[in-house]
Amino acid sequence: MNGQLIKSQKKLTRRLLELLLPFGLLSIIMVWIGLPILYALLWSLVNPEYPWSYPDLFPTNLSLFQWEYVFKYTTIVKSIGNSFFLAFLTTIACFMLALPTAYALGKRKLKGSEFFKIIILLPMVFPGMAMGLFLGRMLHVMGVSGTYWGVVIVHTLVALPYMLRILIVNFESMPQDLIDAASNLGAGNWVKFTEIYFPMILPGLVAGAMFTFITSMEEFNLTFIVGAPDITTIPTVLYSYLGENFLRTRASVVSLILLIPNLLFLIVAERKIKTEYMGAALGKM
Amino acid sequence: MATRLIVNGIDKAFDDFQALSNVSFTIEPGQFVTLLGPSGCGKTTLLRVIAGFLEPDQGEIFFGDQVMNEVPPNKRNTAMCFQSYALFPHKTVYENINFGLRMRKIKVEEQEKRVREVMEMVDLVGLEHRKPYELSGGQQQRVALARAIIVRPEILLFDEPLSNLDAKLREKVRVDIRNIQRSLGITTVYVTHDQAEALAISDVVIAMNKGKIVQKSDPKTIYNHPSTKFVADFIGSANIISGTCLEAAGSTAVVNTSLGILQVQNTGLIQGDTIFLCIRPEDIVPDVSENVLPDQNVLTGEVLNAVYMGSSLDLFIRMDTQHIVRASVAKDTWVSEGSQIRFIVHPDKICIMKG
Ligand SMILES: Nc1ncnc2c1ncn2[C@@H]1O[C@H](COP(=O)(O)OP(=O)(O)OP(=O)(O)O)[C@@H](O)[C@H]1O
Ligand SMILES: [Mg+2]
Repeated sequence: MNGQLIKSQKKLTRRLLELLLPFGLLSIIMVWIGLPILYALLWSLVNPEYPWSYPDLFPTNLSLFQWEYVFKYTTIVKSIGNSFFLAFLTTIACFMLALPTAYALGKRKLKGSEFFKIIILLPMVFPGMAMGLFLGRMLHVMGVSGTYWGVVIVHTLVALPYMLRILIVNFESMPQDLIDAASNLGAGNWVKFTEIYFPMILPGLVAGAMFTFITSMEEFNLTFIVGAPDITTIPTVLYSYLGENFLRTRASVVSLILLIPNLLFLIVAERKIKTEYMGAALGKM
Repeated sequence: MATRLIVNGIDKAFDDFQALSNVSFTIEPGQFVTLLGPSGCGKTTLLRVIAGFLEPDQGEIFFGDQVMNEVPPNKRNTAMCFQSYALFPHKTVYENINFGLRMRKIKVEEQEKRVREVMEMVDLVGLEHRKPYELSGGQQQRVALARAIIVRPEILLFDEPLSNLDAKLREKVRVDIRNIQRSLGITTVYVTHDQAEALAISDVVIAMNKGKIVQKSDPKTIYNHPSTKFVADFIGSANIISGTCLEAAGSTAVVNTSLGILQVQNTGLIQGDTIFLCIRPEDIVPDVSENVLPDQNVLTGEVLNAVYMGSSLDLFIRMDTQHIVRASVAKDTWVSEGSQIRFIVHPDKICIMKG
């Protein structure tokens, strides 16, 4: 009798915990991410005729004035185009460079792979500004500063280590027996690449591409040093409102513009990874 | 059409570990050969060398009279069933099994027909569209098996293909493998841990130990006349005892052993030789009659344990010398533990091994 009571009590506690835990996590995420977004959204909608000031909890009058202004009278549309274009090219460049390198380091086990793997990670620990100034000078000498090429080069340099890291791990964790089985059944190099290697590293590739894309979209330091003033992207426009002529309302608009595509991309890519490739990646071997 | 496989003087080392040393043998066209040996003795390594995934440090592989050393694996026309299964995780069961046929550009109708046949054989019908991770271990293993058999290559390589199947299915699939192999005359190398399986299906058994070949014989010979202690012990169960030759004249020799004085066949022994004897448990026959034939070894001991094995009764008998002998007798033999037993070992049934 008593035992049963305790049992049912325990069950209840567990139920409660099961409910509370996701709820708690969700609240933390909401505070961490949701509040700033809400805040930015409200600020972006403030009507300049009725300033939002203490002690009002919410703006007294909402309008799309700032949104209209940003789209009508600034370079934002072109900058959005630039950002997407640069992120796209950077992703392609990273993919082309990382795939053969990761294969050589992860699968072929070349002499000194361990050493190269560490070298590759070095850019990740360099302070962005320090690297940016040096790189900016170098690209200037090369005559590509202020061009799309120059910006793609620096974005690629920043994102490549992450892409490489992910792909090297992918290649390393691929069982040799699988590759041997394909050759054994008559597959040549092309088939091995398209039917075995590629599908198996696809999850890593998608994750790497997602990361590269977002890194490129958000990169400010290097874009500014190498690209300004000819090439503007969403972050450089955003930073221009954070300087001396600080305009919270306008900055809010631009930061939302920067956030929305990234967020969408993340959600779509996440879903895609889950449904399509997780199975393959986590398949029992 | 069938191909002779010649393995000639193969050495293979991993760093400073010698995985294969001077491995040589010939497999006649269409023969079914089993590699038998303890874990880590180099069986998989040998298969990988034959298939071409590993380059030997020394020696050659011949298919017929062609040296294969420089031929890449995808041009060797072998099919291997991997110990790790090595199924393509992103392909369905059907795509996995069909892979080799597709690579060989077999007509689509023919592909479909052969996949259906082989799936029936390994009892996988209905699972065509599953991915490997949606299968049980035994089902995965059968996919691996089907994927290899279906291509009907010159040489089939099996690396413990049935280890994960239950006894009934294992026996059925084993017979099926053998029938296909026979009817198509495919030269086959089959690795197994299961010595009963090896004896049951092979034309030839090769026993390996520590990267070396110890004995290559037909199943009967390797069981009845193991050439070393290792083989005797590894294949079947055996009473292995040491002894010294007391007298060797004519066709029989007398040996002093830890069981007592035994008469054995004279296989060219010289007085004073130290040798090992192998007596199979089933060759120890309980003696109920009183009359003793002069050419029999008659021994007595105390039954320590009688273990009922289903098809037989296993006795552990302690001799006067304290040595314990294992005997396998008819299952309805009546003995009680602790009683004295008299038994016969025919000299023909004692196998003599040097060292
Ligand atoms: N790639 C490798 N690098 C280093 N050592 C290896 C490698 N492959 C195998 N070995 C070693 O070589 C020896 C033989 O291995 P192998 O896989 O051929 O054994 P096996 O006879 O197939 O054993 P099992 O019955 O357990 O499968 C083992 O001691 C193993 O540790
Ligand atoms: Mg093995």
